[in-house]
Amino acid sequence: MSASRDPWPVAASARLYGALLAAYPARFRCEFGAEMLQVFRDASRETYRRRGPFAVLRLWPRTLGDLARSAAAERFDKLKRPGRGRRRQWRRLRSHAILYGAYTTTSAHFPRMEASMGRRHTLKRAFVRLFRRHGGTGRPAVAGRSHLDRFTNRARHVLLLGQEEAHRLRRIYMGTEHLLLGLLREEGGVTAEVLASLGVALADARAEVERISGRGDRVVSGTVRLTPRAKRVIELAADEARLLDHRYISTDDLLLGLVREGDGIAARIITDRGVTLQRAREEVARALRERGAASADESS
Amino acid sequence: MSQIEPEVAALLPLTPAAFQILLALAGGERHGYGIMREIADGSGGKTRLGPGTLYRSIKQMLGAGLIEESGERPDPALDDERRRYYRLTAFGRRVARAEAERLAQLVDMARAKRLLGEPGAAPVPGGIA
Repeated sequence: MSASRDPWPVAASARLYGALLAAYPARFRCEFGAEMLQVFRDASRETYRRRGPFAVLRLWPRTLGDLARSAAAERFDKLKRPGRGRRRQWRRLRSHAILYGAYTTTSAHFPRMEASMGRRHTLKRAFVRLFRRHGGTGRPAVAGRSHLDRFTNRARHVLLLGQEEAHRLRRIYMGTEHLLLGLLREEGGVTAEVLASLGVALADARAEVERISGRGDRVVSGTVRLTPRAKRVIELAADEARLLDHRYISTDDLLLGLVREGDGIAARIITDRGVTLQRAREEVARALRERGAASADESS
Repeated sequence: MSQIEPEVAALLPLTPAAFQILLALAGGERHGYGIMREIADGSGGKTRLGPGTLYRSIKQMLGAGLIEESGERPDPALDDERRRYYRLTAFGRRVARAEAERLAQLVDMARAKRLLGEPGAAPVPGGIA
């Protein structure tokens, strides 16, 4: 990455700005944080080039002002959202309060529970997870813009593979079943293993998809569009990523999105194998936990 | 004055930042830093948008349908990091035009009252608000 070749005033400045981005609400940060840091870094580099290292320092008063004003405005906007939004906020606050009360009483009465859990799975972290899930908004954010920009490379590949599957079956729309086939075809990801352990194999799934949704009669070329249900799966996947604090939407999130949508052909294929949707969730969670042993779980 | 569609009129007047961004994009697609540079250069360094204000405005304009994302690619003039490019939508262009007309109307009024010199005259010291 060319960022590593930056002179140290620029690199240090950028690192500090990156840390200060925490002032923004999580959703805004997730959407724009990387770009904002990039823009700041570009501006610092250019200032350094044109006017030397001290000029980089002089950028800060203005930057801090901009940061403080815009972060405050973003947070204020969140509170200002009328009607349903505000009710949601209050519900969240209330559930947070209840869960926080539960946590404090639990940890007071069962101090050994905290101690006996591993360093990774502290009681507090379990409750934080519960907060996020319980206090999260009921509906995923329908941004009206594509979530595709936040897909990992593997997830993008899954979409491509799904599109290939749709082409193969001469369908003009890519549905949840084609997404599932894409997930099955993507090798090397944890998701494929999870699906295998649930008894969903590529060959069977392909045959089933062809049986259920059929083959078209004319050859299709070009970009295949997503069905409304498949779009919903992607929105749910984005929400799952948000709930798990993932910066990018990965194949696991796509699988969770499929499972959570619950009604599409893909979900039906999964449940036809005697797998309940709950079990699918648990398997994904288990695989994530195991893989998360080395990941940046701590730094969140 | 030409009739303005109600959905365009509902967005006027634009915040200065929003209009600046629309102006910058009227010349073609830009990424975030490109927009920032164009605004700074265009105003002779007097108007500088910080990343927070810039992206807050971008977020609002994306929501209003004035601009849209136009893919990610590296900028050949900078390094090879991928950057998100933005461009005006047709609606955004109409809104920008409507706002420019509104401002032009104000400028005409200022000229009529002798606050401004004739077009092509030397700029008024202190700049135009």
